[in-house]
Amino acid sequence: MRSKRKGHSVMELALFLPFLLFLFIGAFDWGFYSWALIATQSAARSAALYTSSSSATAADSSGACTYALAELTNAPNVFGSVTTCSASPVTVTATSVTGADGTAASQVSVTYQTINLIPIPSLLPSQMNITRVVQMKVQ
Amino acid sequence: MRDQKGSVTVEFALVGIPLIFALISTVEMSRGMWMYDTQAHAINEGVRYVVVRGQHCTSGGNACGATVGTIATHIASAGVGLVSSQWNVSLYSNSGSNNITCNPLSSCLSNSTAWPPSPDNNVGAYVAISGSYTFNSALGMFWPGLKPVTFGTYNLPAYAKQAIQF
Repeated sequence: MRSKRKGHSVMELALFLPFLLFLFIGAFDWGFYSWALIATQSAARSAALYTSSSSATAADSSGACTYALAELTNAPNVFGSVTTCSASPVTVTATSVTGADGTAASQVSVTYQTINLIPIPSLLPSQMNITRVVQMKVQ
Repeated sequence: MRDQKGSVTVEFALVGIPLIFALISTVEMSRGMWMYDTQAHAINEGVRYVVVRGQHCTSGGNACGATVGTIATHIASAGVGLVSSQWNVSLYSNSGSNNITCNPLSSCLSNSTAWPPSPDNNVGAYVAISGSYTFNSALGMFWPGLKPVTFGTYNLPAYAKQAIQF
């Protein structure tokens, strides 16, 4: 009886372990992706706040870049290594557009490519491209 | 039957150690993320406070300008649950020559220096604030080789930068 039950618990653990592992990976990946989504949103908003300050800065992509990078500074693949926003992992474009109210507006698009994480096949990708677009009325 | 009673205790001793480790780790990681997020919010609030109190706050009869003390107080009150004595904050001006270091934040709370001074308070000039919060965590207890068993300290970073609006 005793030896039989012991075998059971080892079997149970073996069955349960992959599930537990994937649960951990999923939580870890989603945690980072959620952080990256929020950081990219903040970056786009911070950059748009600057570009919308005058018509001269409405399409200033390089100015928008410095503000977007400031918000993404704690991202592991940005910190201390990325200074431009023309290629992956960070792409920032600012354009002059006409806003919903018919007046001049500035639109900033920020794309951030996350670091490589552990994927879960067919459920979670190892890497994500996150794009956030913000439009603000030019003052 | 008596044999099984003993094996339950042994089993719990084996499983209980990683179980308690996982439990404390979860709590400590959550606490750390909470503090990281609170600090990021507070630093952002601080920058926002400064960028709406630029050059026009000292002209045309206005007197709404910020001082190092009011900025530090604003950051400290936005950082609910964070202790200002273990929180280092630096204020960066556009020219780079009017930077202020508050190590720790509590040392700046009653500083009445107007900040940022002209011309760093012109509309369009940037203001940046960085923070570093010392997080004392039980996670350090599990770090191999750390003797005696003690709480570890981790520095949580935060940074925000905006252009002056007013």
